[in-house]
Amino acid sequence: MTQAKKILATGISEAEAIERAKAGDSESFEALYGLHKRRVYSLCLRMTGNTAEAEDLTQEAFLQLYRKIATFRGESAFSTWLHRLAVNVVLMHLRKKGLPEISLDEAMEPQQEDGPKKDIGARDNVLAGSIDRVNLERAIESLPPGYRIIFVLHDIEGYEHNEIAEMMGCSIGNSKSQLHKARMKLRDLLKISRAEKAVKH
Amino acid sequence: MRMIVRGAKLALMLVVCFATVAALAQTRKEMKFTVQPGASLSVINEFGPVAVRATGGRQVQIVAISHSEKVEIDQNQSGNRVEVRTHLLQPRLGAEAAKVAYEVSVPADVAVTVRSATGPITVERVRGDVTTQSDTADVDIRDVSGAHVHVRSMSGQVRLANVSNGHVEITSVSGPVTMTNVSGPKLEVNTTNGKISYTGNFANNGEYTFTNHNGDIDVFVPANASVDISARSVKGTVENDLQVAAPKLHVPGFASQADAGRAFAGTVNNGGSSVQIRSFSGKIRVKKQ
Amino acid sequence: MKCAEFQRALPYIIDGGGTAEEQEHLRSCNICADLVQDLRYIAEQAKLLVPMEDPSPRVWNGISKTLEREGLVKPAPARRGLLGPQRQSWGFLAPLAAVSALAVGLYIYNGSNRAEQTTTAQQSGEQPAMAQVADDSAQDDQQVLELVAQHQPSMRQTYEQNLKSVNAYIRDAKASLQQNPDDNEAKEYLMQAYEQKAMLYQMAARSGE
Repeated sequence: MTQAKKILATGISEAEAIERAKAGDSESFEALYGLHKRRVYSLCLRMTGNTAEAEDLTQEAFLQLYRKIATFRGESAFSTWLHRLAVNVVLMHLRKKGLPEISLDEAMEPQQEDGPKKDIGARDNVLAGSIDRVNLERAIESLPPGYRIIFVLHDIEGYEHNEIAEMMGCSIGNSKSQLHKARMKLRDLLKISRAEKAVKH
Repeated sequence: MRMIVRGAKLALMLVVCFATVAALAQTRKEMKFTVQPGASLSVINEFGPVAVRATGGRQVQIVAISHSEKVEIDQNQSGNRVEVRTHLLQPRLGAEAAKVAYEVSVPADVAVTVRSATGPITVERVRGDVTTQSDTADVDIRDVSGAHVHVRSMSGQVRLANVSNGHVEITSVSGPVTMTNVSGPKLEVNTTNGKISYTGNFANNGEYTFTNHNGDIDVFVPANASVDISARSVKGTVENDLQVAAPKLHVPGFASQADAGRAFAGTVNNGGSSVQIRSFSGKIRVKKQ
Repeated sequence: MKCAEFQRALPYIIDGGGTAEEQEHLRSCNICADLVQDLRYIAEQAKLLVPMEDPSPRVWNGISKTLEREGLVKPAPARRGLLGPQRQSWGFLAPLAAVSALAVGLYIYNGSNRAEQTTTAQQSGEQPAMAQVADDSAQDDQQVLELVAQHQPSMRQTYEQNLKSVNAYIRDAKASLQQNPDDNEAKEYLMQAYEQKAMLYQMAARSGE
């Protein structure tokens, strides 16, 4: 929990801002935006991989928030509510763009590229301790969209497979399978990046 | 005589050769993008100047001149959003080799974002929002009206002239900020120790706030300006030669005599705009223009 | 059990579970054990990615224009008068959180021992003390400078000078607030100082892109 949230948990500042925002107070809107913009924008950016789209979607998420804020009753944390709203905005946008849906068939058939390593040769060096943030973010950016979405939702944003399955309209099995493929792909990308670095030095 | 003529011809050939080599070392790339009203343009160029000016028509036109083959210009248009970015093919390329110069013409209503470490950055005559981020680049924004202006800078010189009717926010750490004829509903300038200098009439019934840690803040105001003004330096000094009517109600921290030399507050003419000037330990000077 | 069979089941058992045979294979097969270690490590590192980017100011401009157009906001009351516009108290917290978040992000970026300690602490259910993070500014600053030195060496000295200035601002503002805890202007100074520092950190982080 961040320091800001600890302080807010004991005070009433955010709650006050929400009540005032419900009454149409513009400064309260701005305060709420200031508190949450970074997390919402980072989510949109990681899911889309595109700055321009992420900005548009951030704007849309907050506009939807403000249109619906009167309905927020405090059953969940405000940030959770906002976050889920932002995820739905991004997913709707990606569906409109024609994001390839996760197919049950795809999950059931073994994929050649993810198949076992048949050649038991020398072991690769493990990745532990060798990843830095920039390389990881770049690798995530270069994942295919379907893999990237699942990876962001599960491993970065912390959604469970049953929640992802509900949001994406797929089965829990599909969600697990896609996540595994995303991680395998990242593993390959990070190993290539590490090898390239080693060659340069 | 023959030797002299041959020498001259040789010299001329050498000059032509050098000029050709120099020209060849530069790569010029021209880009055009057709956009609709409400478009936005981002230019990301860590090293080198970016000059943006508004022209007529519905095309964004960009000329980029680079000096190294280890630099690429990436361009992308997605609907009404255009992004142009200098991409280094080799990390840690020196500033001179990585330098690219951009000349940009845009329709006046395009929202412009420019990011450059060394710049300089110039934006003129636009009516769309202007956002700049720079490390040491000098930033010059002029003749902008009806648009928001956001400037974030570490140590470059920031100059705004003839900017009106929009929200202006400037954050600089140590670079000086100079504003001439800048007015609007909101103007906010924050520096750590960058000098702040404002010449203008605080028009538009706006809210004007200048804050720093320990740089000087100089304000030059015409006698006919209409402002509620307060200025305070916690550990520095405040000078004022405006005719200021004392506040009707006691304002804590601004008692007319007790804080002489460190603070003053009052109303000039009808008190239209609100002007708040704060420095922790810098010198504040409010002078008649 | 062969590797092919184990790796087919892996997506469904990596977060726990698996048959006795699968567990045995994992214990005895170095190739699959390394694979599982790598995939778990990637997942752990992903959890530590903190949001680092702010959207462009253009985003808020668009939101506020739309809110006004749709009549969702009342026009802001004229906050005229000699004390000028007053920030709401919660705005005080955002830049403090920003500096803390960036500091954590930079720890992780540099893969320092600190990052491993953070991971271990989180695994055992403890939370890193963010107040501690915000206070360890000398170390954070050093990491920022190393980041700049890596990607833009010519800028290192400029960043160092500017960080010194901003730190002096923060120190003075904190001292002033300690003397006058209820002074809104003192809170404003501290907030401005933190915003300046957060801006420097963001610029340094961008220099790596």
